[in-house]
Amino acid sequence: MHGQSLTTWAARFGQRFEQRIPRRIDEAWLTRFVDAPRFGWDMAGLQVGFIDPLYRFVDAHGTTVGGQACLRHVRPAFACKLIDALSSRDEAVDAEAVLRFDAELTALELHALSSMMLDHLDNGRNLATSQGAERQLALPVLITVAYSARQLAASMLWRESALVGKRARALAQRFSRLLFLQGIGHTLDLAGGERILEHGDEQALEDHLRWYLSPLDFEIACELAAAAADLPADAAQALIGAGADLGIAWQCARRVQFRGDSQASGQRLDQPVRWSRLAGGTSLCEGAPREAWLSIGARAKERALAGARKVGPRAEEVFEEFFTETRTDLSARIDMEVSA
Amino acid sequence: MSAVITPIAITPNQDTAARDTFSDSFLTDMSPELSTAYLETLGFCKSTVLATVEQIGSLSFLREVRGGHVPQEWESLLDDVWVRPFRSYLERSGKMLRPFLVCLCMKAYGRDPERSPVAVALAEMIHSASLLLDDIVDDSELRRGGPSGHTQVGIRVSGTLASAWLNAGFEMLQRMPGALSEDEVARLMREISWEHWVTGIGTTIDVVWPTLGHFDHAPHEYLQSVVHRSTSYTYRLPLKIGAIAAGASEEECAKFAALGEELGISFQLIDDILNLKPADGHWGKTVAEDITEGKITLLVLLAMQRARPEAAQRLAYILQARTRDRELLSEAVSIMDSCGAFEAARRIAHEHVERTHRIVEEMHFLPDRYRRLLADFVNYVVNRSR
Repeated sequence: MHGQSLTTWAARFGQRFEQRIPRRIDEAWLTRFVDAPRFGWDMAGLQVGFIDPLYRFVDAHGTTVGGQACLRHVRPAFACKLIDALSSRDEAVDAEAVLRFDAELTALELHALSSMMLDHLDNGRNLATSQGAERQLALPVLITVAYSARQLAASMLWRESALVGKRARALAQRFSRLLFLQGIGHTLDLAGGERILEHGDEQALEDHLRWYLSPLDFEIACELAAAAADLPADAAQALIGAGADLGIAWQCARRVQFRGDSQASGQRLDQPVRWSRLAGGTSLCEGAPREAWLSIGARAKERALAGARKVGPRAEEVFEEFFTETRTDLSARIDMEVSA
Repeated sequence: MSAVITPIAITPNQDTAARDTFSDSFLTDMSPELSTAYLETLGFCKSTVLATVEQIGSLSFLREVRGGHVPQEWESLLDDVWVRPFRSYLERSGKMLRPFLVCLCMKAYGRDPERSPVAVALAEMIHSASLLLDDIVDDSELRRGGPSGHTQVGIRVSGTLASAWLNAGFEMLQRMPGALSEDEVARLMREISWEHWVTGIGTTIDVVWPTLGHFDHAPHEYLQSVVHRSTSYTYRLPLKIGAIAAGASEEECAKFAALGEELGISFQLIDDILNLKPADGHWGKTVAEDITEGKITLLVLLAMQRARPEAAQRLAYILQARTRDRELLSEAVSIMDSCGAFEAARRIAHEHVERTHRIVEEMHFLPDRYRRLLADFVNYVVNRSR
């Protein structure tokens, strides 16, 4: 294994996240990230209306590995591991050199959290019929927290990046675009799910998945690592493409392994799947086309590893370890194990 | 994945220009010079905004931004779900005041807005996207006489499509920069991303206060929330976009931002008053929605400080009742009136209007004509009757 595990990086990043967005915000924090107050903040209102709900999701949501341990911050952790592997000249881990990108890493985490916050809501025609599984927060508050988290992420990259010059600008631009891309993907996903549209074939489903949160986030994680390591353009492009494929593979594995187990996964995995029927007419959420997820995921995994290999053995090693540590195993064995 | 972004051009269709879809009665509230300048740009503004939306809403555009990876099945959803609810907001508005402000700023610096149409389109698109989100959190059924976005496509779909359109500007700026320099594009993206974020912070106060069940917030805390809520998309952001697209210096941009902020505060305070007390003294079909929605505005906070305890308690009761009963709504207004809350709110609004005018006067770097037009615009905004 190169360097530290995802779990170790996740724990390190978790501490850094709490420094960047403290559990209790004060005027200095608001002045730094928003502006100096003209009239005076209602600190208590912002605490209960933004920070407390945000941390409720930080604390509650993670990625289940093997149905047991909970790996939070999987995207930033992967980015840390990759930055470490591509940037360090020797095997000694220089955590500080990696965590100096905490603004970028925090942005990644905020983006994922923001999406998860809204996963449990229904698509009703008014607030009363959209509450879904959310029991603690009034929907206007929850929706505003999700909105703020997402937009804070983009603003943080523009204002606090550890990268300099064109690299900082390029990453901020790509992240800002990500919000647009994911917004479209999510809109069409939800609407298609409601109308039970069908995908023509596996390629169409794979194209659909490419607009999901995970492929987009892992692309950004790879772009950050490429910028941090100052990779040449062709290697950076290979890595970014590999990141998207890693995200697709991970997404597919999670569908298969944790379908219907929202408590374990932290997401309602049945929701977007509803519309993903393939030719043949069998709905993916009914179980039979598990093979479709497995084959799309397996192909994406292969492409991810091949892409990482182009960058070098260290990148490939990090990708391999990611799949192992997150149990992104797309073999029939795991399929049977889960079925059993 | 597309590694290199190819700039593309927006081609406004002047034939679709705009005066056929909106009532122009508000033009009488503008000075003759302002209404002339406004009408000169209106057709261009509207056709540019609609052409941009059409372009971004196409399957070919999505294919381009995601390297061809777009499922064919999306085609049947695109117009229905992604474009139509959004376009309906744009078409219902008609006024295009924000694109007009962008054009005004650019022309003041001798820049031709038609060479950077993306800046013009951005201001209105961001505003409309924010209205879709506002309608969700307010659970409004109607917007400008038509069904709100979420009543058409659902809360979640409307939220994600609004979020996508809100952030579409980042894609547009990179793909359709027109005559904007790389540096101007980056400055615009940085400022837009900040405005998007701080609007969330301002809105937090707006949505969390009614859930807390108490009314002892300070009036200055309300004003602070307004700085980061309604001031942004109404005036501060359009003026910033215009100034940056015009090539204004950092110092001049800051002045435009200050103008937008001050005008936005004035606008909001006057809007709060007009919501409860229309200038013509008559309540129309929908009345005092702020009370029905339990909004804690400056008027409410001032009333809570000034009214006798039993009157304050009664006001709190009515606000929490989420009522449409005209008698109760009238009683709430009467409580605010009799304790002097309206008078105090008007005084505060007036101070901000005065400050707005002072900022315009200090913008010596602008040609006289454009300072005059900005001053007229301020008057138009603060003197409207409803």
